[in-house]
Amino acid sequence: MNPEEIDQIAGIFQNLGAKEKQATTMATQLIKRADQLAKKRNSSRVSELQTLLTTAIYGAQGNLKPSKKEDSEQK
Amino acid sequence: MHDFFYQHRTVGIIRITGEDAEDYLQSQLTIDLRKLSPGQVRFGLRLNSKGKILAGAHILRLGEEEYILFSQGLEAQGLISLLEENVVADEVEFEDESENWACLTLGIEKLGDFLPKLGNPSTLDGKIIKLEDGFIFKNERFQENVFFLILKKNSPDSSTLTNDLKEISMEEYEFFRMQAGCFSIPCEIGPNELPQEAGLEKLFVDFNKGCYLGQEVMARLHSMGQVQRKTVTVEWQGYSESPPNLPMRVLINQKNTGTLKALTKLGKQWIGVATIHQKGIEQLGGTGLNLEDESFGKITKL
Repeated sequence: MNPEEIDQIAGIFQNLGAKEKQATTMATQLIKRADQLAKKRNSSRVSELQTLLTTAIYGAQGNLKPSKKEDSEQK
Repeated sequence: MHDFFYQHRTVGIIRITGEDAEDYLQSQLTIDLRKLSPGQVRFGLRLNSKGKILAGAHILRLGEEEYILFSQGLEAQGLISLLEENVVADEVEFEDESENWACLTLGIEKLGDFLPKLGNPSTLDGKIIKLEDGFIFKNERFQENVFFLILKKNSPDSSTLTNDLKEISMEEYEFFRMQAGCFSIPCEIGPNELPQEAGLEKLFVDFNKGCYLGQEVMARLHSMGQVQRKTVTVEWQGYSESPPNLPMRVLINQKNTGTLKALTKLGKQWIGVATIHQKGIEQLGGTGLNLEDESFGKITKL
């Protein structure tokens, strides 16, 4: 894993309110998950990183991603 | 019921570890994992956001950050895919361990002779009893004394615990399971059913645990709702050697009132699992309900 990439993503988590150590752990996990998904879906690592970060940012604000919100509202 | 054991062919066993394992599983499953201490086991469900059942598994808490999930109806990869679906930045790892373990169901009528083999535990309810090479715990989906024995493959513990028991066939086990109302997830109750439609909410949904997938629907049904369908064990009155192709619609006055999903035979008796609309339940318990293809006769409540 690229330390610069971890630092960049950890910075996003810190901006969302995570403490430095926790932000680094979360960044490492998010990158690992993006790699898993890219391999599983044969997709681009960057797009998976972007999707996961979007989910995390929506989640930190207490919202669902628009795509998931529709799921939740259909009863 | 005579004392028996049954060797399962395919089960899903996964190990879940990591600092976020509890928080993550708490957000995915219907039971309150914060109340599950290391050494305890419970059955829980994974629902979708509409409250429908996607999976069911026994959750064994081995340590603060270590769990084993054991599913009869889903193989490990299917279970892992479902559980991983919402991982974003959580420190949680899923490992398929199915190949390492053998799984048996034990049915014991009187526990008197059996308990010493387990070291005379003070309680069996919700407790994992550790063995040299594995675990044994009560399967709370049965009212009878039914246990899951999970052992490392080729362990000698297996013969010690099963030597007084009769091995039963798959047909006998399936008959026993359906008769006891332990419906297979997700084949017999699955993505089209709510837990309430199979009576699973009583034991396997914790309504005060907070947020998890499907929680809004569960809370609404619990406080003011009522489901319109029930999943029940039925007897098939077709008296035919060859069963109908399943699933098959069930009719009342030529109108659809449910679905027959599974059938199994023991001796001359066929029993099965059907999900039936409330308006058909009374007739199911009386004269019975016709199958869509009338040449296959009727089903009645067992």
